[in-house]
Amino acid sequence: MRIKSLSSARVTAGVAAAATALLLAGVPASAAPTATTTTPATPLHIFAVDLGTLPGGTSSQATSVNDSGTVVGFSTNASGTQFAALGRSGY
Amino acid sequence: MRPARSSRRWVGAGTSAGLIINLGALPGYTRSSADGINNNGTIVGESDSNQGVGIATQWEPNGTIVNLGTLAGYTYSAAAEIDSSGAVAGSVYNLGGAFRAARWSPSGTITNLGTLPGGSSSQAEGINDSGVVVGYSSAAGGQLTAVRWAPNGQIVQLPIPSIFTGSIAESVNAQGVVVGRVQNSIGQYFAARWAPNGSFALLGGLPGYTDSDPSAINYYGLAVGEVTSSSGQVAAATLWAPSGSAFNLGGLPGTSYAGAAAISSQGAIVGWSETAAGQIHAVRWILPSATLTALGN
Repeated sequence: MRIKSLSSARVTAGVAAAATALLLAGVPASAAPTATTTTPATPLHIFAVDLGTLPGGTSSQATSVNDSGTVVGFSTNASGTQFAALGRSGY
Repeated sequence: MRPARSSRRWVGAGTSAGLIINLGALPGYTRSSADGINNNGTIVGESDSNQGVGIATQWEPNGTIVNLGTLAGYTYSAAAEIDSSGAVAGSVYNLGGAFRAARWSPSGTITNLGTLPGGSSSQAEGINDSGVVVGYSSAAGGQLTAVRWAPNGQIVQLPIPSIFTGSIAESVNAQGVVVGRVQNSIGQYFAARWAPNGSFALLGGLPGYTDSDPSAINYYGLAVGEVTSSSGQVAAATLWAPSGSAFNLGGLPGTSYAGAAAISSQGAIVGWSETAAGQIHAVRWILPSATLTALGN
């Protein structure tokens, strides 16, 4: 299980902009790009493929993939119970 | 070992088999989750009896399910990642109590990785094939701090600029490059990378998103994760090039609400996306080989 302990505090956009200026002031020039905006230099031409769920399930997530293209994660089944799941994804 | 750069075999939409095999859970447990798979096909994760509480579990390539156990004094455990030797990084914990980073040897011996001096809690998130583990520990002041454990178990704090108040390490690649995030005093967090010598670099964000959070980095230094808005209601799957530039991977048709969790050395990226029906499904992103090459993969 993962604990997202750092994600609890939230800020407004105005405060965020001020924080960005503060952030950049303290970051070495070599640490570019900026913290909030990056213009992609290369069009990615990518698309997402739905890996589906276990039979009858409605929800799933992939968490890891190895160099053979085997994917693991978890999915609900027809009973709505979540189980570790395995599949193939191409290469 | 440098991964083989064999010619990539491309498949189109519809040819993926998807997540179709139910790996099951340990006897006595009703639920499970897989969190990592190595190149031998060994999988680690958890078997749970209640949401969020369970025991670290390993699925062998032949289908055998192994109870990885926990350390004395800790009731529960969770596995995060497994390296090619079979060593596992994860955590042991008690309900409502502190977490402690742990490493399982390939033979199953568990080592308590400890905390920073004065810290009370730690968690391991990633491991590479050299046995280096990364994660985070609370420090004497209570702040979460990105750390790296050497193969001998020695804990080292990963440095961050003083304007940040906390940090977490999520993943380490074969070169020892670490990705994670840093937090500022108002709770924003930003994607970060540490070189093997510990030097710190901030990675880019995406317009319209206030926070960024990498999950994994591959052999070639490509990182993936997600960026989120300050409302916490929006997320976009993100790829970071070795230059630090961020790219929005998009989602399934009709949505951009998605997150990336892992990237293989071949450049295969997986995670989740909202579907047209409003469900959350596991997805795999297809990148043209020329794009991967342009990004250094």
